[in-house]
Amino acid sequence: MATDSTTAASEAGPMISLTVEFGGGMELLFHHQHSHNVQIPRFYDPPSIAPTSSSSPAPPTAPAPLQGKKSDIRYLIWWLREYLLDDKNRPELFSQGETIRPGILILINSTDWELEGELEYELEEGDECVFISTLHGG
Amino acid sequence: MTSTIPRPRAEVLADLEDTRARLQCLEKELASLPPALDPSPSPQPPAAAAVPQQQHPLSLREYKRYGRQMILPSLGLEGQLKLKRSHILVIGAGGLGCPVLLYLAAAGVGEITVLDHDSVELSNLHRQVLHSEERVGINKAESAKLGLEKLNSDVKINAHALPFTPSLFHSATTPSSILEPSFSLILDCTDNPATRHFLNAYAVAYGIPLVSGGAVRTEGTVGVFGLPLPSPPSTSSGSAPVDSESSTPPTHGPCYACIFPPSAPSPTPPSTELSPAERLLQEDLRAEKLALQGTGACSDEGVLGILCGQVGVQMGAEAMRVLLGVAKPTLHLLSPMSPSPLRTIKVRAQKPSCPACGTFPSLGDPSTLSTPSSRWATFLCHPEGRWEGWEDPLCEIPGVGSSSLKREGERRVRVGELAASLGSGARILDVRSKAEFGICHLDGSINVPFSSLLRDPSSALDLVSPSHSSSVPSTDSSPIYLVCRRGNDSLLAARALSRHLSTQPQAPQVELVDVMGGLTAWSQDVDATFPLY
Ligand SMILES: [Zn+2]
Repeated sequence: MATDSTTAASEAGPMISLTVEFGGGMELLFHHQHSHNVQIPRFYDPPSIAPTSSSSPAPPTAPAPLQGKKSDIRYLIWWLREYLLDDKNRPELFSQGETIRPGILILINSTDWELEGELEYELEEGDECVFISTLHGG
Repeated sequence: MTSTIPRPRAEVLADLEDTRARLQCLEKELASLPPALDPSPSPQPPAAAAVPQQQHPLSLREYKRYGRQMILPSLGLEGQLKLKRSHILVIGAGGLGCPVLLYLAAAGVGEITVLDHDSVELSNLHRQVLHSEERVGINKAESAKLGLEKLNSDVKINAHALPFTPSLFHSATTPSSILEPSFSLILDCTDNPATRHFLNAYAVAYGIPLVSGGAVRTEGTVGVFGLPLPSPPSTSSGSAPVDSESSTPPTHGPCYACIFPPSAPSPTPPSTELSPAERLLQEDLRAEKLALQGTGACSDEGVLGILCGQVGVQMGAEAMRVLLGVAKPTLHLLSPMSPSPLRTIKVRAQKPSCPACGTFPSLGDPSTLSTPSSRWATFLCHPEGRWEGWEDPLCEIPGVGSSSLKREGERRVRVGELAASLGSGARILDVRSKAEFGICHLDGSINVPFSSLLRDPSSALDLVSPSHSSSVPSTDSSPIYLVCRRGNDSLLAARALSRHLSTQPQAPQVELVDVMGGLTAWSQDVDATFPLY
């Protein structure tokens, strides 16, 4: 564990790492794999992810500016859809507009995302985000 | 250790005489001794009638039966009596209902009402452990009652062979315990979203806590919903202003719908301005989306038996906590096959705008408040008993639904026709999952799972091209038969492939044939030795 003063420099790196877990069938959309360690840009430019026209494709790799808006859940949903989802032609299985599709619960560090600010929650290094689809069977 | 040779009679008589004499000696010796100080040898129990008969709240058998758990400080006699005085409602006696019922009946919950409309099947028994082979075919609620009465005859079990549906509340034969509920707790052991939301609304309307569980594949959830919360110590003089409603803390924990909102009504049907072809395309894309999302049913998606036990027992534990008065609103995620099998979630508070448990101005008349009980009363008064968002889970056709109507230019055949063309180089494309294909498949068939086929139709077609299946004497012109488990996904796959081919005019055209009824029909009509699962 480094102290705050010494981490300041390393924290300025352009990427942060997160654990993203999928459950309840969501994993079938992401390489049939429950747990993913992902590196996403620390900052982003909000207009770059605006759902202006569906025809404008995302760049091959996500831009990682050294400043801008801190990456939040809104950005993570966009990033997962553009860079991790298996079937890019069917984003509706995962998202709806800028948010998650109905029937999926998001947990941030084992807390209902509603308590953390939903789309506005700013991601921190090491955060764990769970996307779980409602389980109906019994 | 008697000798094998009988002793002479005279010898036995002499022995007896000696023994009698010895007895007399011993009695004389005892009589000569001073009276004993210890009263224990006294033939009379000391003053039994003098002790007043104590009243015990449990039978002697119950003390013995529940002793091991009553010793626990967290339970005690007090806790055991709370369980005994409880009456719980369990909806569903399937994968979750079985462990819930087994453990709560064994623990001594006084009265249990259980509803299930379904019958026991062999394919249930890997997880529905309260039923048995000899009860296959009988109603699950009845079977559960038989099993529970063998386990604990001190518990009262009421079994009803009924589905928990809106029509239950508009039927003259519905038991009054359901119509005028006074349950301590409801357990949601059902298997579909419509019933879960309807049961939640019922629990909310009557202010009864709900423990709900779900289990599919290898993952499950357990939640405690609609739990009355202790009111915070009042600081004001009690005359709170009426308009401070938003600031008053909720009296209940979140309900099921606060955490898992009901999905929005199905998208509006395609507009009539679309051409027929466009309308069919929209219909197909919608059906594909539904098929990819899955039905969520254990029969389609599979379910691990152990998981049902784990989820059911966790539901039982939360039920105990509710009945003992120590529960908190909570949500657990269980995944017994993963490295972190149990995760507990910090849940949100009750949502004032929740369609099930919220209180807000009525849509029709904003001057009146719409409350859970007013909405329930409206439902009870409705002549047809309509409940918004209700879809009959028994009638719902998963996947294809209405789009299964045959279309022009489409070739769909029965399994008999596939059997007849097997010798003539027919190519068979099986679109089930890899695991299902691994269980059993038709000789010579090639597996491309439905989701992969939709993602990449041209690779799927390459796989069934002759160079990949050299052992089969087929040519590019022989038709491709599409099969799946029941015939839903294969139809959608055939349509997706033909849509793909229509965009590739230079690609070799192939005839696509959907096999109706899938491998289930194959087993029933062609080859009875082909396993059904
Ligand atoms: Zn609610």
